[in-house]
Amino acid sequence: MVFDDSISLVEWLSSSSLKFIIGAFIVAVVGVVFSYLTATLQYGPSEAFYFVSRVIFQIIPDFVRTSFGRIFALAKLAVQETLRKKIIFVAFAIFAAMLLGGGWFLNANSEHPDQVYIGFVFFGTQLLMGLFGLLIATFSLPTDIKTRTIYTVVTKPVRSSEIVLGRVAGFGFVGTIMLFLIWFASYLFVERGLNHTHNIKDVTFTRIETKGESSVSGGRVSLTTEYEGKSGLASSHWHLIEVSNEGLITVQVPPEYGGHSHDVMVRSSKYEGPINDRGNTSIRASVEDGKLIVKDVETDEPAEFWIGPPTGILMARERIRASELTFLDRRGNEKERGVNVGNEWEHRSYIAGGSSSLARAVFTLDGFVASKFADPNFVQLDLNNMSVVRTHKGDIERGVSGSLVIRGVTDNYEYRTEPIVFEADEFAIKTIFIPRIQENCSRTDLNVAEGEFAEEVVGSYDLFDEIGETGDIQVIVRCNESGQFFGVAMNDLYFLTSEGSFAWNFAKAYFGIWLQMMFIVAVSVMFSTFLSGVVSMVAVLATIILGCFSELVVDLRKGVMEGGGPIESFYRIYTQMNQMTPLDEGVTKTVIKSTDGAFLDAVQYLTFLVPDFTKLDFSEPLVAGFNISMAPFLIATTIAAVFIFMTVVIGYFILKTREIAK
Amino acid sequence: MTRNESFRRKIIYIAAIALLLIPLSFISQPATIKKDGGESTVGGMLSQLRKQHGLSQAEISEINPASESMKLATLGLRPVAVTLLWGRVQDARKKEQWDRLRTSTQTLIALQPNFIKVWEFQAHNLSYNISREFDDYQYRYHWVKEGLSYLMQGIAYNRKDHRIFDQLGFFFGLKLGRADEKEQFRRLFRRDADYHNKLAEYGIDKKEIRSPDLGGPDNWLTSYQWYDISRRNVDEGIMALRTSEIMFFKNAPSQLRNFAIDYEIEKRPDDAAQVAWQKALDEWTGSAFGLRTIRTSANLPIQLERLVEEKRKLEDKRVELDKFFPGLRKKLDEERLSNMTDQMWEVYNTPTDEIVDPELYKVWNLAREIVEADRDTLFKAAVDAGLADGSLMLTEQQKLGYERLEMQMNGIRRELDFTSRYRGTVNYEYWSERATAESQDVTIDARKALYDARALVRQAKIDQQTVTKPKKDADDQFVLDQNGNQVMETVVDPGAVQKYEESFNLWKKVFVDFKGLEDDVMEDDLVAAMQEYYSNLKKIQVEWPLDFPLQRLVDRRHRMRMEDGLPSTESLADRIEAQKELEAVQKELQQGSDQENSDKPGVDPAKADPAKAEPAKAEPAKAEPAKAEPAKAEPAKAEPAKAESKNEN
Repeated sequence: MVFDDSISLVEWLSSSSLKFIIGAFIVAVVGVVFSYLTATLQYGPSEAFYFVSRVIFQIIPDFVRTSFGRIFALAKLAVQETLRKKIIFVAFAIFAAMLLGGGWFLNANSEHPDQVYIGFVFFGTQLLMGLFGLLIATFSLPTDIKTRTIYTVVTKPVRSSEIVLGRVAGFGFVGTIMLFLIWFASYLFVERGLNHTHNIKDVTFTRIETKGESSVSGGRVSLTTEYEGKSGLASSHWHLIEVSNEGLITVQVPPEYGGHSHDVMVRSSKYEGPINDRGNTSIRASVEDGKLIVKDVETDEPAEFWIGPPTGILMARERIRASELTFLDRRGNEKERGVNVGNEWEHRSYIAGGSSSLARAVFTLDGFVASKFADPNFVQLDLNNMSVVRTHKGDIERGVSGSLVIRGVTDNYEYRTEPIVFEADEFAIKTIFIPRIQENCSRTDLNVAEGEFAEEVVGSYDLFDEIGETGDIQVIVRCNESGQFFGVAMNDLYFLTSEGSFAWNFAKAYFGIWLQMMFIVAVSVMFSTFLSGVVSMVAVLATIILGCFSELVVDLRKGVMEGGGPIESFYRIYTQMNQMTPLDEGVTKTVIKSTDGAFLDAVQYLTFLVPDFTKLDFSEPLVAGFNISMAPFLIATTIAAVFIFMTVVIGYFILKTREIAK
Repeated sequence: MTRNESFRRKIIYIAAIALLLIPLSFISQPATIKKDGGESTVGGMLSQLRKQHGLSQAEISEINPASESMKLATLGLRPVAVTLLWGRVQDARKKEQWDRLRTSTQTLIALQPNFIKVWEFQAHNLSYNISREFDDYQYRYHWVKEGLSYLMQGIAYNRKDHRIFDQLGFFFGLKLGRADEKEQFRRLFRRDADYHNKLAEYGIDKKEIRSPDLGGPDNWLTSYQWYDISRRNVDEGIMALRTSEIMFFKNAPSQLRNFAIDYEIEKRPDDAAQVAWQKALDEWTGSAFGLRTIRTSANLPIQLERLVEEKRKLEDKRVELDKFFPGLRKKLDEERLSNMTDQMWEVYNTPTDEIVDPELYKVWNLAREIVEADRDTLFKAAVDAGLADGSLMLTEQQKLGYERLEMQMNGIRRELDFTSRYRGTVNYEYWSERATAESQDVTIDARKALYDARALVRQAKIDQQTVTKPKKDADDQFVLDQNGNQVMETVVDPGAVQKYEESFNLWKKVFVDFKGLEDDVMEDDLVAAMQEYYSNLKKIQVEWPLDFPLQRLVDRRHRMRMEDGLPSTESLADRIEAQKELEAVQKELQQGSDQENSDKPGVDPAKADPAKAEPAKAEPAKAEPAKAEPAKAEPAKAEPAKAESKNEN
């Protein structure tokens, strides 16, 4: 999970708006100069000047006097035209066929089947909506102009802005309806495709022969597990069910069909819910003659039990994430990054373990208040996809041990909780429940006179009212084992505040596709005001490609990506030189680098003219199971709105200057 | 340019295209087969070439509609798509996006289904590179299986290539059986019933791969099965061999012995282990490999197992040859060996690892050159010289017979040379001897003792213990006294140290019969065992025994500067000296005692000598450190007390 939703709209605006304004200004100037030159060829220099000036000064009255009624009427025409062409039905039929057939080819037996399913429908929808927007919007205006049906419109008292806006609104409306239908079908496809349960009633349980080792799978079980059994088969997988010596039941996450587990649900006259829930104090499981018996141990009343729906997939987790991540090296010195263990991808930084190592990863979290949590008495801390690197084999039957301390500083005291020990789970979510009242927590008085010894009091302190009184806390993570390393990134640790609705999150993600589609429609209409259907389609495709690869271009320019620009790449291929070998100093390098630099600069400026499509894509948080927060949502909306507006304005100018029935 | 010119040019282009289409249609004509007995055609040149080289899609692979559609959909840009996908796979690996990686590898093989290296590379990527990214061995195992499944998927697309089966054999064997997590991998594989069913779909016999004593299918036996399928396909001519014969045919038999080796590590060696080794031996030396006719790089057929026979054949020919010149060979031998001095003979007979002085090594080399000189070459040179100067005479007929014999001997020598070299390549000698040794009772007992020693270490039973327990009879029933109570007996339960010693004594016996083993790979296993033994001796504060059965092996490694941390004879010099002195004193005491006893009739001199009666107890090395240990104070005290009381007696 590498997405970053930490930037707020205000921060983003302050960093991006200046660039955008400069870009827009350059475009406007270039546009005016280009228009003037074109008009000069047609009317001569002085007439052209008046012509261009007239158009520029008419923009404000034209837009101010825009009639919504006329826009609505034109939009209605666009809708009728689209329905008449039946593209919507064809597109939906293609999507339906894709969903129906897709299920056969999708590999649900992967670590994260939810990611496979969501990725599939998301990519399909993006592609289809993009093509849909492209096809209906690029050919409409050129066809009207060619067949002269446009005369029926332009001969009426309508403004060019109304023609452009009407078409964008009309096509956008049809696309919206279609996207809504696709969203609904996709949601059903994903939800129905992944939702399942397993039979537990007929499972035969056997006693664990070797502590911590499963006789059924040959893998690990918890050290407290007494009995184990193989659940019934569903969605081509089964789970190992563990019954602990305390009478609790855990359903193991199978590596092959990973990403999810299940809760064993129980129902009695006093309690209904997961058997492992803290609220359940009396219903316990035992095994008699290989069969699972679940009953209320206080009343001896038997309880119903079954395996619930999958957990750990199709989530929309709401969290308090870290706002800062710093590191301490082996000697305890503060560093921006930890150790590089030799990974090419530098997303995560590593801390060395061992009792003599002072290396720590320090996560700073703000907004840590009780009101955000569904159950503040037991807060849930997740270590998500934390990486582990072993320099020696160690005990491979167990994960590498680590610990974390929560640190809070108020005006008077510094609090440090007792280390919470955990066993690392790589590429999985490690959940740690932390009680609100922290026992054996140390409190150090900060208001001591110089030279005096700060008193340290060990006692029970409240996580929110005392330790996190200011709303800011630090979570300090360490690796306990010598010779082993933990790798972390900012998003790898968070407090889970609540579980949101996956359906709603799914809808939010589709809003991103809607923004993409609207931009494609607007830009298609804009290009179709002066290009033929096929040419404008190519132009739109080029725009989309530029939008999708703008990040790549920026990375290439910054030198983040190895291999250099096109000339350097060609040179490397020709000389069979790998990407990591530096070019020899000399004229060749200077020529290659400067040529590539100039080319990439030009391409980079071009990317400013199109929105960064990756910013309009919310699939990453959706796939990773996080609630799509408001900030990226607002940023995406702003980007799309500004660019749609700009394309409409450009479209207006172009249409205004064209001689259509004038 | 006028309109007419343009039109004319277009007409010329169209005509040229049409002309080119004529030969193209001829060479591209497809072959036809008439089912109703009608005439079938062989098709155009391209079709014939395809058939000749077995390149038609239907011949080399299953036709996969998805793959074919995808290839078509790239509209001739397949190489571009493939290049992008390879990049995508690498990028997904870098960014730890495992599902994306898997999807990309699947798309990749849809575009390149018949390119064997793609299957090999990506399967290796999944099983080796991706699996190690995971910390949890269960996930590692899962990704190893991903690579294996990937390879299995490739079988259908490469019907005429044995390399996928070979890779499967390699992965099943070495990845599951030799990785750091081999213990866990083998355990997971044994229990993986779903996967065993999947293997059955690809022709793996579930019964054949099952090792009942280990509780489920074994990865080595599965590996054997894959190699066996490959071997059978090649033998039956279904697949053309694409590698050297010796390397190809050694694969399957090697897996059986790997199974036997791991069996003895995981389970107490028993009859089943003996059977496993016997099977491995039969396969290695039998028709499957040792007696199989293998073509060398010079296209010469050889059989590895027939080395001795070939040598004997050569010797017979030599005897025949000698008949032409009686006494010549003997004379030449005498002349040659007359150059050997006594010192040279002494050095030559010394084991090479014991020669540390470079000067002596030179002498040894010289001696070797004389003793092991090529007698046939010398003989031939002498004959040629004799025939030239007339000191030797042959009739024309004899000359023909002599030359024919010479030619035959050259052929045998060439064959012998190849056989020796090929045997060396696969370490044939060692594995034959090893498998033979391992299937002997004494070796099984040695391994049993070693296994027991290690088990006792895990139970923290390091030294022997005297315990009192109910007595049992031969039928394993408790012995009762007249009152019906259990009869108790005091027995000495051996500890790990004693079991190690038992094992080393047995190994010494093994090395008497199988000398080659001591000098080769197996010593590493024993060195580990000796290190464990030494560390356990230290725990009970007992010194390294001066009469250690495998001391020769320790010394040899020491001389070769292999730092094992084990005491060499050199490092034990002081103790050996002290021991000699002690023995001398004891001898003197014994002589005095004998003298005394001869004066007292009726006393058995052996019983009277405490050193003879309890030699172990008299060893100072064992008694001294025990005194220093407070916890051991009691037994340590008891021992001298015993010795004293015996002396008094």
